[in-house]
Amino acid sequence: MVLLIQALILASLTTMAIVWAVRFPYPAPWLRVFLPARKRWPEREIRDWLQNGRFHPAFLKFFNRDPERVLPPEPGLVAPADGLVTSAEARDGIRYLVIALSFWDMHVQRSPATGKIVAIEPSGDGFMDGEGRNFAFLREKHCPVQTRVVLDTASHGRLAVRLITSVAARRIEVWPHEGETVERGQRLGRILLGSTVVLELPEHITMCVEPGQRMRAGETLVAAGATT
Amino acid sequence: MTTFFLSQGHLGWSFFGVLMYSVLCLLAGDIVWRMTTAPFRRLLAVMALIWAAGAVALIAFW
Repeated sequence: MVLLIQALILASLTTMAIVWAVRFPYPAPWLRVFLPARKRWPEREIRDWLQNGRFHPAFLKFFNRDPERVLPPEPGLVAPADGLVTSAEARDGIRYLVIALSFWDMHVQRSPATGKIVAIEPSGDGFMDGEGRNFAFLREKHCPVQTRVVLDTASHGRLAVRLITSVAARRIEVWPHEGETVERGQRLGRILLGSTVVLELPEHITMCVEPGQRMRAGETLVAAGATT
Repeated sequence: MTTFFLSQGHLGWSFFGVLMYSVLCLLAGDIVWRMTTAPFRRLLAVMALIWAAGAVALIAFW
């Protein structure tokens, strides 16, 4: 009886060791629970999944998470997306706050302010938008598939949230419709396996964030100022 | 008959303990390697020391 129990325990441990060796350098399934997200699903493994289209179900569940967010008590624009601010260039009176989303960031976007949606503009492969502005400076982000959600806000004037994804992903969901009013921090949409969100705001607005800073959608204050 | 490998019809407890401990050390070492930025050789040396000390303790004091 003791021998049988010992054999069962050793067989289980041997199986664990074999699976660990087969999975290496990626973490074995039972090790993943002890690891933070970035280590649980290493970038190289995710890129392999992108190549073969077979994603780990647990990763997809993690990727599609949509947690509640607590708005900051201070008035002002809130971040439209989780991610890293990579640039805040201004062109022709508009500042483009570029937020890069990693594989481990939450991919639901939120409205930066209360306002009315005046346009939802999907665009294809070009870097020129319908108003003749050139987004070639975003070229290194490889972002040909975009949807631009234009908001009229009482507090900060006209804003736009640009949801950008890659040719490979090509899937952007925008949930509100044109003419609807969205609240500050309300869910706007989701980029499926996408990469970048750009917040367009008037250049004169003073920013609270700078390139290199990480943001949380609906929680990080982007610009101070009156809002409702 | 009681030896290191066998004891009263089952695996010797020291031997069994060392086998279990070795696999658990391997898996724990993997987690430590993923969670830290320490050089691989240093981690390997530390883990080898921890494993050796544990194995000796299991054999000596069981």
